[in-house]
Amino acid sequence: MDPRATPSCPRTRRLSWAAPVAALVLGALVLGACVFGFRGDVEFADEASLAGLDTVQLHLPATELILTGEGTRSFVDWQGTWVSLGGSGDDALASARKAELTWETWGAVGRLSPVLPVEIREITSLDHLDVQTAGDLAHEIVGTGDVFVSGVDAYVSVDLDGGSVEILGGTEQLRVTTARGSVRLSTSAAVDVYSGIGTVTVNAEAARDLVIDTTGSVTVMLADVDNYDIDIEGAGELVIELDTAAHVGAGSYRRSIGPATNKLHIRAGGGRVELGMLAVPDPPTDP
Amino acid sequence: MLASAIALTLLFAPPDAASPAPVSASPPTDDAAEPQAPDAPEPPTLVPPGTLVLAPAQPGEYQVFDTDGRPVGAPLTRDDAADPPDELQLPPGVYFVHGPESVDPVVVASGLRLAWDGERVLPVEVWSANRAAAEAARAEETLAAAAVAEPVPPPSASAPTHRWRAWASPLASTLVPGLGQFLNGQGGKGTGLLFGTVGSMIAASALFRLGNDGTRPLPAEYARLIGYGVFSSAAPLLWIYAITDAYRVATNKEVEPKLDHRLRLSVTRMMTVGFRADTRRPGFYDDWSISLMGQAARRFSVGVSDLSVKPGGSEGPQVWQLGARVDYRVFDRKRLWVDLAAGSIVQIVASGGRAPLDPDAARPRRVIKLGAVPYAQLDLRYFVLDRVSLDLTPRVAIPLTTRYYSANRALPRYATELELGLNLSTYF
Repeated sequence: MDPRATPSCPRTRRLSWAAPVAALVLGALVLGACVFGFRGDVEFADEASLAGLDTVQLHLPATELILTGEGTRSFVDWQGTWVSLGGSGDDALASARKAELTWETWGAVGRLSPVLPVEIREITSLDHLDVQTAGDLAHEIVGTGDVFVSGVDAYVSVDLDGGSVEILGGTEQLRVTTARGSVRLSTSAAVDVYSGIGTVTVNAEAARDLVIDTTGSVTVMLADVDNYDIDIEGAGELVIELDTAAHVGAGSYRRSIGPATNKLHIRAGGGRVELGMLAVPDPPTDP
Repeated sequence: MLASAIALTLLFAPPDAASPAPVSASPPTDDAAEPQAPDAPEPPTLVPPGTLVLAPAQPGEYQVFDTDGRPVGAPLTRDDAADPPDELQLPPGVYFVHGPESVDPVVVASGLRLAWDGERVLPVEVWSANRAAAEAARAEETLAAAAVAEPVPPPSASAPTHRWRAWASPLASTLVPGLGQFLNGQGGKGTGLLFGTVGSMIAASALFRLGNDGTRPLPAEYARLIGYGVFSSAAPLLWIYAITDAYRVATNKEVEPKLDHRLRLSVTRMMTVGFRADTRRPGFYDDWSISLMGQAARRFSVGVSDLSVKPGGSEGPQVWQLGARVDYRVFDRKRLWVDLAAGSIVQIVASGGRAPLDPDAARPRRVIKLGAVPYAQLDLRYFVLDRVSLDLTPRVAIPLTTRYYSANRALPRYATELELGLNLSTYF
């Protein structure tokens, strides 16, 4: 027998009202799926000595970090806010108070990292963290979330599961890895950047090695263009406007300028690549 | 029903049966004894029994009770309406038949043969005539439907087509949702299932990939999460429905849910949307689990539930989850069942601390904690096959400790959760 002729047909007609009713019930249930609870936040601040240290490590939970270097400071201090959840306001506050950042040292290394009891680990976040530190010490940042660094001349390493990075300053080396996020650097340090997805902008104030790997657009502005080994691959669109070289195209580009002792290697993964001159303000002249 | 039974009692009962007091065991009072001659008491009148023919249409177990609540005879089991009826010889009076769905009063009249068809008490001759007429009408209807549906292919040709469809249609819908419906000649339904399933998958994937960088307005982010939950659940449900419906239609079978099942195995996805500590990023909380429920008594099930493991990855805690649940079926009509259930989830959480900076220092010991989440829920079950149902399960839960979900998500203790569950259940 043809299935269309089965007795199910009249029943389908009889229950034609059931579909919209079921959809309404389902919609109400879906929209009604929710959680009732409270947030509690607790501010904190602390400091520690940097005596005898060469490297400061910041191993952080997901947060927005502002790291500010200041000459040869002898101590590091930090302020932030813990946010936690609870079934009541008091419970949320109690959970937030259980969270803390601890400072440890071993040899010439100091490390700031969170201590979260297991029962609050997945319901607590570090809302933001401001750290003031010495600019002449190496800094290694590991975590998730946006990072802003300024005033650190020494080596800076940022390794993120995700988040954008902005670094102003630096004279030694900047190394940035982020799974997803944009990177913006203004520095005279050597640069090594990887971003899974995101734009990369580098303002190179001195002729140093620049290595960039991303799936996204890349903009590099150079102050000194007399000594570069330029190697570009995977550019969806390529625009070079330097005092010593000019090019418009796409794909790969290789060129040595001067002794070519500084690397400028870019892997753009199909993004737009632009090389240009960095406008350096003229030094003040005597009247 | 009760009124009609009493009326029938009065109609069919012989005059002496209408006043049974003289033959009761209670001693006569002085007032009653005085007008009669006490010296020569009359022997009790013997009333001939009546015949009750039990022929309910609903399959199940039936037991007759007298007015004092005592069982009369052995329980009767009827598997089908076509089963031969059972006959009981009983003293006249009113009795109660406890069936699978209701308790009905019936009457037994002295010397008469009465039939109970599950709804009414009729003389056996009337019941037999009605039954014969109903069967004849059904047969005519079936023939007429067959005649309208197809140009009467020869029987030798139609039988292999059905056998072919029985496995090909569900297989086709397994490979491509809705394709089995096309094979069954239900193009409209197949198109709907195909676009519904594929569309849900694409929508769920797109909403998931949208991600959240913290800049999206909260209402839009909640809408994204809810949409993801709806579409990611609808896709497998529609697909499963397409497969089972293709089989049902191809085999031309009516769905008769297995009322007397012993075990029920369910795969469940509970989910909800709620806040997180990060104010700009609300969370989608879901939890896949397995339940195994045994039907301990009619309508009443008990078993282990919410079984799952959450590995936790390198950073998150490892969670082993189990639970216990009882549920009672409050409604079962045709393909729709409604259960009320209550239970508790137990979570065993193991987590290690962060390694100290000093490489020679000992790692912190692994911490193990227990958690509990009591809940109550409603199960709305829609049977797509005799032994398979797709269920919608709204649940309210209040965790007594931090509750862990998949993907290292958690909600705090005492935070009331309204969840929506989607189950695929099979019955054994």
